[in-house]
Amino acid sequence: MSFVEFLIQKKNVLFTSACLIVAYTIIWRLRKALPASVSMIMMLFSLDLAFSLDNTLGLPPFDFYNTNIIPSFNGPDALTLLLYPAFGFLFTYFYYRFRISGVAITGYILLWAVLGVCFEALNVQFDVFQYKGWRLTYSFYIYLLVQTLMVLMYNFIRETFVRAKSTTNMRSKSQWHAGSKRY
Amino acid sequence: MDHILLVTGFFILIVTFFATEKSLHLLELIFGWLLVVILHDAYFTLVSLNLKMVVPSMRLSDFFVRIFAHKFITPTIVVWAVDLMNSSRLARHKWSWYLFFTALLILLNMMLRRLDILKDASIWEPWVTFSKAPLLIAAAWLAMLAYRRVLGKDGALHEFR
Repeated sequence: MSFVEFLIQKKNVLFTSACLIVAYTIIWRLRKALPASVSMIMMLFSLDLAFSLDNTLGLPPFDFYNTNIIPSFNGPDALTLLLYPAFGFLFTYFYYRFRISGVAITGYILLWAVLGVCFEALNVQFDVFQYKGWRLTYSFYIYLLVQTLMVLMYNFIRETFVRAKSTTNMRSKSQWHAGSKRY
Repeated sequence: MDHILLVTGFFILIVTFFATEKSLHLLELIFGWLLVVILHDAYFTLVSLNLKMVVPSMRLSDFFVRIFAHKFITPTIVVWAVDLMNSSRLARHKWSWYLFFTALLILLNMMLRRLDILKDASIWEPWVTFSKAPLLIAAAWLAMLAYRRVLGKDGALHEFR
């Protein structure tokens, strides 16, 4: 097998690997922008949604698509799954960085849904996904739903985190004034 | 009828879980919940898709019950187990909760099989069912301990309990 044939045969793995390197390099540079506990939940939530949808839509009785050619869970599938937390992080980071609020949330969700569809179309070209009755338009609706859930989750987590942090600070101050040696 | 009883049991379990006071922080509970769903999804994908040991039922009603059990009931049981283990001071109380919730998970799994929502293939080994439950609770407990340290470092936890 020539080198070119090898590249063509493994194009899905190479494409996913390249995306992973780019995504996690960006995340590494931005990792301190958000509290680690919040980032971890958002990344897990993103992975959860993707894995759950893959396990429902990609398996019988629906079985709408295959991931990475072979219809079983393998190394390339694991690589593909690692991309979802990265997108979850970036989605949350830009939402936080640009202080998206009000009507801008709708635009932000729409923009990410379009970006998601474009990226998925690239994935289809590189054989990461093989559709069996699935369409990109369905993906667009799924992205709208998923990203709305991401926004709701982030707002809830942020509120909980801020409340927890302010409670901790208040307790610290009161104990400090009371002369506690716990801190 | 059996399905209705099972789903009623699911709802009672979930409502009781949300109605009782928890010793863990809300963020810890959410983290634990999400983690259990991922671990369980990975396990189910491996045993059903790769090893072909379990055949999920093709009926749509069975499908919804299975999804409900996997995404809501299993995480509820595991997170509840970790919460009660965390709040127990004595080691024997921790072990009692661990064993109780392990038994509950195994019971849930057996009920899904009894109702043919999951069907065992001929190559199915019963020890796989019995080993999943204790491993899932132990893995969630360890991960939630690690997450507690992260919360502490972020200044969102008053103290390490």
